[in-house]
Amino acid sequence: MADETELGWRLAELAESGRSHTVPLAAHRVRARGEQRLRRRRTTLVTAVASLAAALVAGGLALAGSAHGPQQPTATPAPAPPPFVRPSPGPGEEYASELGYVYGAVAEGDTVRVTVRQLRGTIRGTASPTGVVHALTLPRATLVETRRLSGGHPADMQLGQLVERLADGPRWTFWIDYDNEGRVESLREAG
Amino acid sequence: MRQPEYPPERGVDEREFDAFYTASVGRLIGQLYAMTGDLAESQDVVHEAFARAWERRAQLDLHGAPEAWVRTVAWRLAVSRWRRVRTALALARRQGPPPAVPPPEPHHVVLVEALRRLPEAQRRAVVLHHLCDMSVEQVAAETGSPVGTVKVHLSRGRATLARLLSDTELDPRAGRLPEGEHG
Repeated sequence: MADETELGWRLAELAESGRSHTVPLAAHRVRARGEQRLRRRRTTLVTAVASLAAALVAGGLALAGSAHGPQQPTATPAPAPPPFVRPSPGPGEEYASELGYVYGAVAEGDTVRVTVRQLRGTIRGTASPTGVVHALTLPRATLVETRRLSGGHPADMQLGQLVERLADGPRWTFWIDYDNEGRVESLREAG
Repeated sequence: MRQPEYPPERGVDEREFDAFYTASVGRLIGQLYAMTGDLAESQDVVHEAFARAWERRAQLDLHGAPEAWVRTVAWRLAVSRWRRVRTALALARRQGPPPAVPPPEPHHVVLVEALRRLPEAQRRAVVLHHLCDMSVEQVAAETGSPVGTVKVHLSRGRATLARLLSDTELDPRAGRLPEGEHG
């Protein structure tokens, strides 16, 4: 490369070559993709708010009950924890999300096995366990959107990169996004 | 990974967005092609960046620097390590295989290969400065790097390119590329 001018010229030629060989999507299709992302974000927020409201109602009822005096001990055994049902997206939605602690990560070849302790929706740290605990085995390349786990800056990581950080007990909470076939598409750090 | 800061709230409608998209998408794909060396990848990340711009259209300011914002988002998407896997899977599900891209010209292959051998930060700085005609200060602002760092990236990037391209058909001393092909 003889000089800087020539470098600029070569790069411009390369860029023009790339440009001339591509047919960009129509603008309306790009907007549709943006709308899809927006709907997903709104759905997550609505789900969180609804879950929080339900948790507050349930908590209020429990408090009201305890105000009537201590409960009589009972010999009835504690009910079995509810079974895990994979969330499924509503009509027109791309994903459904589950909130939970993700922990106990173990790498197994190209996959990572994690335990999920499901939580009810949370805003500002008001999460409460649902009693559902289940395991997921996910590809190492599963997308994980992080913030605190990546030093306070939003980052896109792979689950395989976080095995050590998620190996211990419940500490990190995530939104787990399921597609309409029950597959986990991504995890997003919550809170 | 720091997100680009959003411009002050303005908002755009469909017509304004479409005009902005139509005017800049080809240019941005060309720039990302020079940065990534992968035409299909550059197309996809630019489309995705525009989709994110539309998602945040309430904050999009067409009088600010929306093209720089889209370019920055597209670049960050491209360098995300997870993305290569995820994009292939997601795109295949959404749209089928990516469109066939004709092979590049032989002398472009040489340049792309040389660019790919630059560290990402150097490659980005070289493309922003020499292709996008941005000053060192503007490159520093877009990349979030100190001016001195950008100067080092540019200097090293140019030196490496000169070394990699010496004795190739892009070396003017070789005289193998007819002037007519220079446009």
